[in-house]
Amino acid sequence: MDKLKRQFIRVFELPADIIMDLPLLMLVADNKLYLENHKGISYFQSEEIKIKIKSGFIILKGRSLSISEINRESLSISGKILSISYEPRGGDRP
Amino acid sequence: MINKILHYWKGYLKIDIRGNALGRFISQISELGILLWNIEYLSYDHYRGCIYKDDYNKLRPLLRKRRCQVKILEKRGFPFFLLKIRKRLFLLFGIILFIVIFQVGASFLWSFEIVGLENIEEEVIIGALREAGIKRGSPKKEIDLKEIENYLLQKLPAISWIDLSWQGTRLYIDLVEKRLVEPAGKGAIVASKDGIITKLIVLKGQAVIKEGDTVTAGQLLILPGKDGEARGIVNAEIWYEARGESSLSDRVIVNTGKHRTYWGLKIGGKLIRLHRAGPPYEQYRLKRTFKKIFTWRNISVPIELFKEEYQEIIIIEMKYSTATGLFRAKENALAGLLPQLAEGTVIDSIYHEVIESGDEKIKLRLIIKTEENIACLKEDFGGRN
Repeated sequence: MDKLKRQFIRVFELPADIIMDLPLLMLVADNKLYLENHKGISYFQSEEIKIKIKSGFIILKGRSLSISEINRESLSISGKILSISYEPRGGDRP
Repeated sequence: MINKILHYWKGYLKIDIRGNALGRFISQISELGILLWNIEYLSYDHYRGCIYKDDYNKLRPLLRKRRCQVKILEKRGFPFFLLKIRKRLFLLFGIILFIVIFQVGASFLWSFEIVGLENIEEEVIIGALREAGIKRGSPKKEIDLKEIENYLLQKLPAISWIDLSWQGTRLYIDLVEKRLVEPAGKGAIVASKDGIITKLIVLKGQAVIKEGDTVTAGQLLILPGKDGEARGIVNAEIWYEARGESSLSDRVIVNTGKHRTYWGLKIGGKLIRLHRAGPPYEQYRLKRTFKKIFTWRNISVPIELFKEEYQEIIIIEMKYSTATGLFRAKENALAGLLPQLAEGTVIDSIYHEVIESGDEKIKLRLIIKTEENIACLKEDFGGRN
């Protein structure tokens, strides 16, 4: 099914983030981050935030991080962002 | 900004969230379609955030399912403000009452301000206004300023111009009084000064001189008529003479700006200087000031401190040209003449005649020609009666 969808998107040149429910990330300097199509927060601390997405996790590291807004589709994070990393599902495990 | 206004408008709660796996809990809340904002991390089991007041009840089922606690810290926003106001009904009532009183109060006339009065009493104007139906406390709406202006002009003939305007609740009255010509006096008109008559206008009585006549002070000009009154304008050419002189050189003292100060003591009648040197400059101006050192009641120690301030000066000999000397002499003469002239006198022409002109000094005679009204009423004139 996923394969079919991907093909469909490629043929018709459609935005993948909308159809496939893929995350869209927007970063403003190092102090503001918008994320659409998240699947929830799995871990939240002022130094680290782990956000679930369709294919894994996005991990933010920084200082005095806070969630400035969160609803079903999108969230925004403010604070000093030091690093952004991506962890595919089951990627950590060998 | 817009978000903040929206939050305020809808009303929101600041909440404390406690429990385990709070990240998960927040995700669950957002899955319900509830907006959370400003979520802060305080400790692993303690978050703080904001939520709309209408969404708060939607949390209940979730709270029951999970072992999390949510506590309201603050209620913010317009709906809560409204609630507060409702509790303080009298405050609202007071605010409305204040506005109403203010509005009502501002629609009445409270005071007058009258500008331009000279001889007319303020009470006369206010009295006339009252007759027109305007007094303190009249509603502003019912007052037609143009109408009142016309009324006052008719009512008070002593006013030549009037303008009414509002300054808030104050009626501002700007007016100009008529200058009434003084009524004729009993008696005859005599000359107040020597001169040659240039203009003669008889308003009342009978002239005994004609234009071109030379008159002396006190001479009869206009005889009173049958009713004993005399009035008229008698303009005459009058000559004033004065002498002035100016030397062609002058000594001017100029301060060089250098100065030096010395201190000394005065004991009894003796001056003891605390410095040896004499005057520091060849030409100087000396200012000496004394200061009592110690006074107590009436007793004073006869020791005084004194200050001597020497200012260096230079004396410069100034030489004037003949033209400048002439000018100075004229000014000199004029200064002596001007106090004799009555206020408002028009000077027709000025002549001068140099009497003496040497290397040292210049002397001149100054003649001023003016035209003045010399008519002067003499009351105890028993002439024809």
